[in-house]
Amino acid sequence: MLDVDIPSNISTVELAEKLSRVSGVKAVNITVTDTDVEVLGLIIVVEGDGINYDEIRRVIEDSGGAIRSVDQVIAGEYVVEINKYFVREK
Amino acid sequence: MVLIDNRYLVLGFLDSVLTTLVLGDSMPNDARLVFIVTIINLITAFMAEYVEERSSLRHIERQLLMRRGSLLRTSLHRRAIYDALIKGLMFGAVSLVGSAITVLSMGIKVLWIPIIPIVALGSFGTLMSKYFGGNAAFWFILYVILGVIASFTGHVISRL
Repeated sequence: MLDVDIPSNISTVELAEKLSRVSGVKAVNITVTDTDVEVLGLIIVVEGDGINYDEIRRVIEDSGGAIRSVDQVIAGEYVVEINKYFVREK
Repeated sequence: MVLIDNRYLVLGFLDSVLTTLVLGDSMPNDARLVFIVTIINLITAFMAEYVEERSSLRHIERQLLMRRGSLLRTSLHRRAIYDALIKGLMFGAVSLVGSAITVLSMGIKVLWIPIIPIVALGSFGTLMSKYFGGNAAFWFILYVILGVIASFTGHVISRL
């Protein structure tokens, strides 16, 4: 789960298509969380096995985007559920 | 996909016809004149657009709190170059047409005034007025006057 800012003239549809072509990616969800005149704030959720993060970053940066933070990463043989008590509401 | 800017149709045609009218009588080599007008306009438009695009990228960098030049190796920068190139080529193509029409038809004159380019200018003014709902007669006359002044300037310069 990535917190990303991109220029508003970039198509989120195109970005989603590019991200879905990255090796290991099975699903992509891009949600616009903030809109400004020239900048869009996005939450990008990428799911899959053995995702190539460097390539994900390259695709986002090549589109003019900036990754502000990586908010969630899940790895291993099973999904570790987190107690909501530890998660501050954003 | 780059949007074709109408200002380059107007600017390219007007600039090339008027420049050719001014320089036409002074330059014996017609093909060279068309070439010069086209190339200068192409390069000028490309550089002007590129500067504008770079300024826009810099503005986006500031908005995204990025370092200066961060967007230079991105698809945004490649698209900026592509857009500037397309607009430059379009300006060059319109200039080529305008300049070639003027050069090819400059032989038919009444006094110092080459009739066909001047009428072409007037017709272009009329077409332009239809685009924004202006007074067709006014724009026809305005463009004809511009053409007459340019050709008179060229006539005077050629006798210096």
